[in-house]
Amino acid sequence: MDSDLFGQAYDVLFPAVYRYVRLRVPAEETEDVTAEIMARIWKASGKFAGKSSLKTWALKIAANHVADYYRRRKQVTTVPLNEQPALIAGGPGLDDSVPEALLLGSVFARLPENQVAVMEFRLIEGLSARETAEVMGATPQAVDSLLYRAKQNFRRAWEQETASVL
Amino acid sequence: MEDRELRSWEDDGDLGRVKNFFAAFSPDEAAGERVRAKTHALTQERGKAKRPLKMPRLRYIIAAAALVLICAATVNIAARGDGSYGNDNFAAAPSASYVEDSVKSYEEMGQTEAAGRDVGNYLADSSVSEPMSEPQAAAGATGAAAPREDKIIYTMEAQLRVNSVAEAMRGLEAKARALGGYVAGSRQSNQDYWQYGSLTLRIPSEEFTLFSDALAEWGTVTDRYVYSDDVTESYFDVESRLKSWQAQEDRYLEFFSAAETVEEMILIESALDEVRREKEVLEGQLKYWDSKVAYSEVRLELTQQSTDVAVTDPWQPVSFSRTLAAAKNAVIKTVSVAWNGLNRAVVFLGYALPVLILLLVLWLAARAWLRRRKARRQAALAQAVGTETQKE
Repeated sequence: MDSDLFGQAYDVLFPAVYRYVRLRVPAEETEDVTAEIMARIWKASGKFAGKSSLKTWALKIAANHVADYYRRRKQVTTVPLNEQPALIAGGPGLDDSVPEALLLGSVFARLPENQVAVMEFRLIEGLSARETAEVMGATPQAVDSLLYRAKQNFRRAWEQETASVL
Repeated sequence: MEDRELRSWEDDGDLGRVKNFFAAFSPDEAAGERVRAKTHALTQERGKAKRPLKMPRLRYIIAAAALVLICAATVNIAARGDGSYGNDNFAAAPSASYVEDSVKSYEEMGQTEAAGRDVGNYLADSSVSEPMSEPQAAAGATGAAAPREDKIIYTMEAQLRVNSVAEAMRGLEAKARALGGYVAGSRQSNQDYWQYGSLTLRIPSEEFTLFSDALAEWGTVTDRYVYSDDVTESYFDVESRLKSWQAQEDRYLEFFSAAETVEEMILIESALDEVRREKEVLEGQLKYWDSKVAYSEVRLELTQQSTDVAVTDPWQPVSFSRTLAAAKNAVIKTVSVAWNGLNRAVVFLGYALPVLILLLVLWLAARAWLRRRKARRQAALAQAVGTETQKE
């Protein structure tokens, strides 16, 4: 594969893949697993036929790799979101609002994993319902419905968490 | 994302909160550099791991070579099957192989006389007397018993180690003819490391001992086996029966002359046919024995004297001249093996060429198709990267 072309693809895909891994894999292994996924993407890039968007295709590879990661370790549970070191220490995107970040960690910890994933794909990565469905192995209708429920649950959890703080 | 949905997240500030939350998981610049370096290291490792089998190309070549070998072997076997391969003459392996086999088989000649018995029964019903018993007939035919000559078939099998198979064969054949004999069968095979000849000679019995003693003129007799088969008893038994049938035939001829009706003549004629058939069988048997007795069979196997130096006692040095001969022989053998190998490789290529051409065409077509597909995919990836960059 053309290395310049892969360099461009790397720049486009790396943040999304890193976020996906960071959210699901212990922090100390995030970089290794991300590098493995990027290398896998490099290896598979010769087979990219353009049937789906590049980010959808890359996130599917990432999802399969993370599933393999847990299968190899026979570990089912992921790291609870309210215990994420990035939230406790303050991540790169969390300016000075650390208390809100901790609050958000508690809110997201109350949401089911698939609802967090649909919020990530649809609101952050900008995938369409069809693309999100492709990554998650669901139908676009199911994705829309899941996003709607995620919204309801997020709002409810946020209100409850803020009420408890006050 | 559709505006309506986006608005529902934006209206109460939840979209901002979600983005704020996920921002905590975005990579910083240092993490980006570290992962890039690790990715680079992994792709390099995979590249190296692939190198021994340069792409899948080497696998294709190995598979193609295996296919060629199988095809060539099949062609080779087929060629051997129709006998065409046997006519290949390799330049370094001049071989003159010929077979002359004119050994006659007389096995069918030992027939039983059952048919004759049937004739006898038939004649009894027709008031014609049975043939005389064999001892009677023999006594009647010969009168006083003449002194019997022994009928003994001599056969010799011998193995000779000779300096030159071709020369020895020529000499032995000439000797056999000079003694009044003939060559019944001959076979000679000359290979680089192995010369072999076999001869089947028929030698007049009276010259048999002379010929046997002369064998040593052409080489070393490594094995000699002479055996005899005394057929005297059987021979004279058959001869007696033949005479008996002869007497019977004479009597039928007398009856025939005296026959008055056509029916009688037909009946006697039929009996005469049976008698004559029986006589022919016995005469054939006697001729066969006469031939075997008159000409002894000599079967010879000739092998070339080895030119290798055989050191039987390692402590006893061989002569220098023998060492030189052995060295010369070794050089000739090595050159011959190499030359033969080259010849065989060329012939093998000849067999494999049509398959190789077919495989080359297939390979070129597959390569062109794979290249087109790779270019298409490269273009698709470039387009996808462009689209994602625009979105960013």
